[in-house]
Amino acid sequence: MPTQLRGALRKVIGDPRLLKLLRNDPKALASELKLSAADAKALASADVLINTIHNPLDGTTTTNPITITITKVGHISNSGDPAIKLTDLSKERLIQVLERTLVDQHYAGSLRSFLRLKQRA
Amino acid sequence: MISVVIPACNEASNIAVTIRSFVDGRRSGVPVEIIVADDASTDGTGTHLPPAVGTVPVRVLRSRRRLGVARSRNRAAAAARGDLLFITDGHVEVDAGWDRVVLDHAADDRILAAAIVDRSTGTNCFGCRLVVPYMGTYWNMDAPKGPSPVQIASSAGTVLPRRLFEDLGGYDEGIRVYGAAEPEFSLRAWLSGANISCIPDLRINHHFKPKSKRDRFLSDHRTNLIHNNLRFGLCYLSQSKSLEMIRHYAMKFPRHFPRALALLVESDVWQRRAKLAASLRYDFDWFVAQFDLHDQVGRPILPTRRRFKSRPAELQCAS
Repeated sequence: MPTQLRGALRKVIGDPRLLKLLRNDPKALASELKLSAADAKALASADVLINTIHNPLDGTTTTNPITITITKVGHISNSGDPAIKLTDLSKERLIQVLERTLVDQHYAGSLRSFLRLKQRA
Repeated sequence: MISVVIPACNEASNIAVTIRSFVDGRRSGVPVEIIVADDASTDGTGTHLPPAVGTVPVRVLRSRRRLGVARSRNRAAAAARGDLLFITDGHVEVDAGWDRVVLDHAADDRILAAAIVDRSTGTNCFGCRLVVPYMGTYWNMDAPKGPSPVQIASSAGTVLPRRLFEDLGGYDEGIRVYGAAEPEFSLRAWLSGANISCIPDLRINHHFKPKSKRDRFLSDHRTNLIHNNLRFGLCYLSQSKSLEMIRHYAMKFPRHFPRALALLVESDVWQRRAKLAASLRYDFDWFVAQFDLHDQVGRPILPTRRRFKSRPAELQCAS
């Protein structure tokens, strides 16, 4: 594995066009780098990670792992993990989410998208 | 003897309190030494410390250029004379009786993970969990009833035999300045056949940075943080997961990513990966299976056919 990946990363670093493809068009990048179908799928699946960064359930950015601080815990498990489904929420937080969903169409849309992404993931 | 190892960069306002808590908190009569690795501080962190506090010797190893946390810890550990290393930070206070708790639980192949207490919020943390493919960590906030296996020991409270530290090769010196050193070390320990146990009675009161300072710190170190997490991932993840991680960082941090990747590609990461693959007892999939790890959005990491059937005894005890 290292040889192919190493070569691929060297190409990406040396070519701004490939760097752009890495961000915006994983399928085209995989084709240029002659990656396998599984690797192309893996590249594309980073979209799910990015699209779930802004987590409307927590009201926080969730994929910044907590390495040097403790953030507020707004869900029922009392663990450091972000809430990723409605059942993860504490009763109080669930009420807050529901109230905001009723009055804020933009928030409701982002919540629907988030939950749909989670379903697909 | 127990050697308390403290890497410190600009901790002048905290370090004396940290040392005093370790000295005053002794209850066992076992000798203790303090070793401060002053990592190019500009605030006089290491210059005003006495050579001893009571009967406890304090040694300061000064570095003129910034070594980073991993190298500083390794440097201090290499100078240690104790059979046990207590690796901590320069901005903590330990609960009294810490040495007794350490002696009660220490074992040749075991790393003890202290509970980390944030006094300002009253939050307790009991080791950390790995976040894949980000390769960062989340704190465990559910208190275990007693000593329990934990994926990652935090930087502020990692205790282990010096011999084990040496056998593991210390912290990865390819890690730049800050970030990823502790999870990488803990993962490597597990994959080497050692185990990590969270000891809830071993309590470290940690002074967390306020948000404004934390944000500035993270911003200043962003390129290094990305580099370190990518390095960590490339040392252990499959090619597919590595690619997912790389694209994730490329999208999330477009400004810092190219430099971080360039540093990484020119580094010894590939040699290190090969060395680890050849020397470790278990591979990353083993760790995933033992802790039933899913990725950061809840997807299984292992295909079903690679699920391992048995869990080691120390993990079964915790179930």
